Amino acid sequence: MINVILIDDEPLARLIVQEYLQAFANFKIVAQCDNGFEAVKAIQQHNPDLIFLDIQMPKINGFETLELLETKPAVIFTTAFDEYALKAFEQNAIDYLLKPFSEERFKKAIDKFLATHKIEISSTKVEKLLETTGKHQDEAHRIVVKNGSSILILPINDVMYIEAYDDYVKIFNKDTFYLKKKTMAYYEQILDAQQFVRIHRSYILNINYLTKIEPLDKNNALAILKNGIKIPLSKTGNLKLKEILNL
Amino acid sequence: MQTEKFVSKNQLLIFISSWFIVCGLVLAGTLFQLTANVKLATIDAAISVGLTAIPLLLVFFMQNYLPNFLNKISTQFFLITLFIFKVIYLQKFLLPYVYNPINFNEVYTKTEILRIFIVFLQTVFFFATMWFLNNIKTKTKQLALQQQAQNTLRDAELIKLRQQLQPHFLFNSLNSINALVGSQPQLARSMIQNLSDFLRGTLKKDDNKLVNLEEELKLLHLYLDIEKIRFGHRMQVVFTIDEATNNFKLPALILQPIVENAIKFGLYNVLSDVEISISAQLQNTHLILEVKNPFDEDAIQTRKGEGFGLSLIERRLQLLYHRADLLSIQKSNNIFITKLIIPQHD
Repeated sequence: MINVILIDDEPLARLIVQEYLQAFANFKIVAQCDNGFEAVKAIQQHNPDLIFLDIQMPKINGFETLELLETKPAVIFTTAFDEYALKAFEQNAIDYLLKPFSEERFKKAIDKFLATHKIEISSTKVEKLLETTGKHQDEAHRIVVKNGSSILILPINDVMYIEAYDDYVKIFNKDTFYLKKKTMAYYEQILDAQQFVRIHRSYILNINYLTKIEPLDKNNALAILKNGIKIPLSKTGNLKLKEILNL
Repeated sequence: MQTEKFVSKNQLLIFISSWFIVCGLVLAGTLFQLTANVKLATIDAAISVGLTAIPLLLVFFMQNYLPNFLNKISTQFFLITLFIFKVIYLQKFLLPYVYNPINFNEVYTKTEILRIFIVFLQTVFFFATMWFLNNIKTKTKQLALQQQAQNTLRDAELIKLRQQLQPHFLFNSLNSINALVGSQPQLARSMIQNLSDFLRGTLKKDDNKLVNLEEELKLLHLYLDIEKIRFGHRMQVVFTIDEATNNFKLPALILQPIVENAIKFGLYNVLSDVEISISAQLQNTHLILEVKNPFDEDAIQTRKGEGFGLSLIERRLQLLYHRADLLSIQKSNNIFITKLIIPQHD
């Protein structure tokens, strides 16, 4: 038996998938979710083999929902996205159903899933997808993180700095930090370059929190933040920072 | 304006002056060979070339300040001829004082043709330059006009675009219909009807046409019926319409995009149920429309779409009423209010 979860904020959009799925005897819908928050919970609970995922949803979008999952099930996106975005889907070999979609097209997607039994969807693929679709407007303004079992949406202006941490990054706000499985290059690309500056191989700084640059020696300096935290500044980082601050 | 980018007035003066200096040097050289007197040759050349410059500068300034007078080619021709003769006559009249006591007449006879030729060259060059500059000016003006026309066209298109259906809305509606066909064919039919009527309503609308509020609300209801089928499980719409406003005029399709905005904003910003309220009231002969939707004050406002939609509406209102204060927004207690003031004429 193949367990399936449908995630879409429109009940009728879930209904059509449900209807099409009736033709496949060994597929069982174990949950239907209205939004990403419910979806994360339901996926952890049911551990489904396949999810149908809408992109535009309340609070957090489909991509962000996917990012929050530690083990990702096979995904088939259902979307009314524009052509440009679809090209990106194709290039990254992520399966999608373009609303409205026919039963034949649906069967093809299912066949593809059955053939591999896993429609591969790594976070690098989603990252690449986002890069090719341009800065996704949501991503540039907020970062969705998980804190234990709860989901937090961090406004980008609250992020003080980002620090590289093996395969993860640590995202610091005033009080604490959150881990996220992303690369520094990803954030460097997606965030506003006038506000978030890669000042060091391992640091991206929100310049709104900078109060002072303290030189250490010829090549190195320290950036001192408003709450006193000091983070290292490389030579190129220093130059970049000075250029943005018009020094 | 943009002419300065090609040739500035100073550049023009330097250009013409250097040409005049070249003319002067040619004349001075010839005179030096004849008289073997540097001082005399220089003074003569300076006076001769300078004398031509004075009337030409006069023409230059007249062209700036009395353009109509000089626009006629016959006038220009007359003036040029007059100047040339005047200049040659003046040279003949003034220069003897410089050459005194040396015999000027002998020098002059030998250089007369060169002098006439140089005056002629100076004049021709001067007018050629002026003509060239004028040409550039006209072309630049034409270019600027073309650019302006293009900008206006683009603005119009932008506004038109906003009025046309959001492709997202269209495709998602078709998807809903697809789902309904199997389970509730009657509802599918009515949704197709609503969608078609709404589409037709938006297509035939003229940008600058004013319609009755009643008509605009009819179209809005068609739109809302579709959205209710899609999101009815978590969305209610409440109308409070003052009957007296039914015949009030407003620009076609100005309310619908605001409501569309409010719905999107509401639905994607909160997880709970969403109530959209729409009201129309009378205030000092103005029509006041308000659209309210819930939003999460703590959430990060990322939906740039609403800014875009509203700024286009603002621009439309500005074009129609020449006022920038007709659209306003207000946020309080997790309610987002878009307020629209529509002045009523006649």
